[in-house]
Amino acid sequence: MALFDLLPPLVGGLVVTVSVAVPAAAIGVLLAFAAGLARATSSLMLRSLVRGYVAVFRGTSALVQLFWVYFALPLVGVELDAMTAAITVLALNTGAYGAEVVRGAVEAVPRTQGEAARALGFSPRLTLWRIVLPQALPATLPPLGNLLIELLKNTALVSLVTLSDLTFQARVLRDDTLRTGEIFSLVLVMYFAIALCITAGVRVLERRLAAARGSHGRAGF
Amino acid sequence: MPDRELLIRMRGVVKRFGDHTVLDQLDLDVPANEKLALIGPSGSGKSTILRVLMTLEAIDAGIVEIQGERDLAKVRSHVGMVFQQFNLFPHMTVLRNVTEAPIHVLKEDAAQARARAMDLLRMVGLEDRAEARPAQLSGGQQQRVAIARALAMRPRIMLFDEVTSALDPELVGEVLGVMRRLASEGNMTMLIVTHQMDFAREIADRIVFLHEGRILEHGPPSRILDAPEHERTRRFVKALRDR
Repeated sequence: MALFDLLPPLVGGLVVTVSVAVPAAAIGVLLAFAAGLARATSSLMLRSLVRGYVAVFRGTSALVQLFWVYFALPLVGVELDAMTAAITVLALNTGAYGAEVVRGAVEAVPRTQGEAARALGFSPRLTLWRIVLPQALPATLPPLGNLLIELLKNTALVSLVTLSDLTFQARVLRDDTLRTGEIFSLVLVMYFAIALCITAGVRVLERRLAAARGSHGRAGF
Repeated sequence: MPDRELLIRMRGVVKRFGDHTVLDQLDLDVPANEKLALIGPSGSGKSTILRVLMTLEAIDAGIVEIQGERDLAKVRSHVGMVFQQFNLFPHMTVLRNVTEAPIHVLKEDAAQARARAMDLLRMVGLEDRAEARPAQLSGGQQQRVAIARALAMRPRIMLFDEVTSALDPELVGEVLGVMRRLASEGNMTMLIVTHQMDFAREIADRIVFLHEGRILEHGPPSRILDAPEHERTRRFVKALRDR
């Protein structure tokens, strides 16, 4: 069974999928931290703004958001190319779910840590960066890893706004060759391989953080 | 003896949590270098006084001055606090717990801050645990680190909030030893919330007995502990002694 002739078009699609997923993931994680931390600030306006953002993006379908950005926004004069629209929508989605992850992790740091910092003269900003965030970070990693895998799977939606991603290439190839079983098995394996990379990457990060924190939380004698 | 500087002045201080009045028109003066023990039943407001001085609680009415300053945030660096639950930073080594504030708040030179932190850790007997994590230390050791951490900011006033209450009995002594030593060095004002009456008698210049958010009576340890004026004080002291 010669799979090799199927590979070039599929790898082409894979490259598009990755070029959407990687920037969307990077921006999404940044957004998650920005929005998650904003919800922990004292500014009511900032908190309401973020709450609205999270509600809208969690409460509507990513596909509809994508259609809206790509097909409806041009009607009010904002034209984004398909790639930009795809990255924007997927990043905003990841950011919305991730904001809740970050907020939860920050709120899980005991309030007394903030009091100890205040007693030592730390400003709220210094407390956030040096005391709260380092303690919140490890708890955000596993759920953020899940969100990145979710993001990867959502990239299949971009085929519906003219991008030739992995899923799109697979459908085209099947129409041309009718080798349905082989093609979709290959595609499954390819998505799974990227997901494995994400899982491995998150695990490496977790291990690094744990090493930087020493044996805290495990040993104790 | 010349009049000592009045370091802390509280007048008509009211603090409420919901319907509950924790501090009820409280007046308190603390001259420089006084060692003051605050005693009283739980809920009498002793810890709240410390938390107000540390700006961890806002008051609902009254005046609080430290060194004549009413904006306590401005003089916060002159006040250090040690908590019942230690509250060390678990993600940092013992040494970094002590150097973190001098380096990032006081902007001290890092090498200098480390050298001073080692001096302080030596003073509390923990220089050999500088690279350990808080979780690797006993409660008594953690509390001694917390004292060193507060002292690293060179405070004039140290607040001790039931610092031995969370400790196993056999670890209490090592923490009291450090406090005793600090008191003997003289130029430190100490406010100590405690249930250790023997320690209060030994270390305090004055004991304040609080009841329902007010000072019921205050005076030298011998008078408050041996010959209290009020029946409530007598019952409280007796209950602790019989424990």
